[in-house]
Amino acid sequence: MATKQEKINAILNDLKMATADIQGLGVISPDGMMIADQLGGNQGDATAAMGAALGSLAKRVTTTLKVGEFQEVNIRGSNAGILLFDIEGRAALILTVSKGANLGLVFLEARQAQEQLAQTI
Amino acid sequence: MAQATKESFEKAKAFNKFDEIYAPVLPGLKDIVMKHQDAITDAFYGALSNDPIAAKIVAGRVDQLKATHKVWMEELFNGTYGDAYFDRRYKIGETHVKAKIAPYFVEVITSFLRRAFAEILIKEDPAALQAALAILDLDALIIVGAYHEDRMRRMSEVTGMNQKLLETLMSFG
Repeated sequence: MATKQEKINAILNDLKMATADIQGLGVISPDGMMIADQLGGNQGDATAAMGAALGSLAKRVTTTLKVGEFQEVNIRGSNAGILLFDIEGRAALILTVSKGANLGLVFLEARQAQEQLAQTI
Repeated sequence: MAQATKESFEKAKAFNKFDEIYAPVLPGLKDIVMKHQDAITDAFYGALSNDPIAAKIVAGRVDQLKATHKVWMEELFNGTYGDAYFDRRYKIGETHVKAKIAPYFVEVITSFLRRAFAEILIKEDPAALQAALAILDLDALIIVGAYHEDRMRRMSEVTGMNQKLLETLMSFG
């Protein structure tokens, strides 16, 4: 029987395989700890902390502006993009996507992974 | 909420061997210092009254605050500096925070008291002055800790980030 870590990694592997537009991805805890890291590079710890901060602030803004439950954040940089998906307040899925990515497909796949992760974590 | 400050307090005591070296000395200084308590407290509130910001904070309740200050000074020399002592001192810190007294005042007040105690105890055994300064430093640590924890709490409340995350983020600074 697969461990929780193996299940999370399998979900991330499937997501990464879904489209070449996804450059890196990870699952982070609300404390800013990396749960699963497929981001590449050596910035995992900082990315986890900043991703969690981004999620916390986004949740706070969502509540303050009364726009419902926080779901996701989309950041567009000049060279690439960052997407953050809430996993029922228990974790967050973070993706880096290439410039000009097919965001329709990325969102479709990522939201599916978001649901799977919610059932796993 | 006071956990981080409590840990710092315990670490500071252990670092300076406070319970072993200084705590046993302090009860013996109580009578010497308390003989000067009125003068110290009067000078202390005189100095505060000359500061335009502090004067507004203490206005109309100087007598009540002087009585509280006397109790605080007596407790410095009680000889037991465990959880109950910490809790009382931390509560004083929280009171300062609620009264919106700038943390700067904790520093200058501690500095004022350090000088006042030195003037009294300079004629005694060096261990006496060392012990009095050691407990003043611990009290300042606790009160400043209450300010720090309040800032962290408010930062956490505003940003939605839990305190562990805030600490982690700062570690990258």
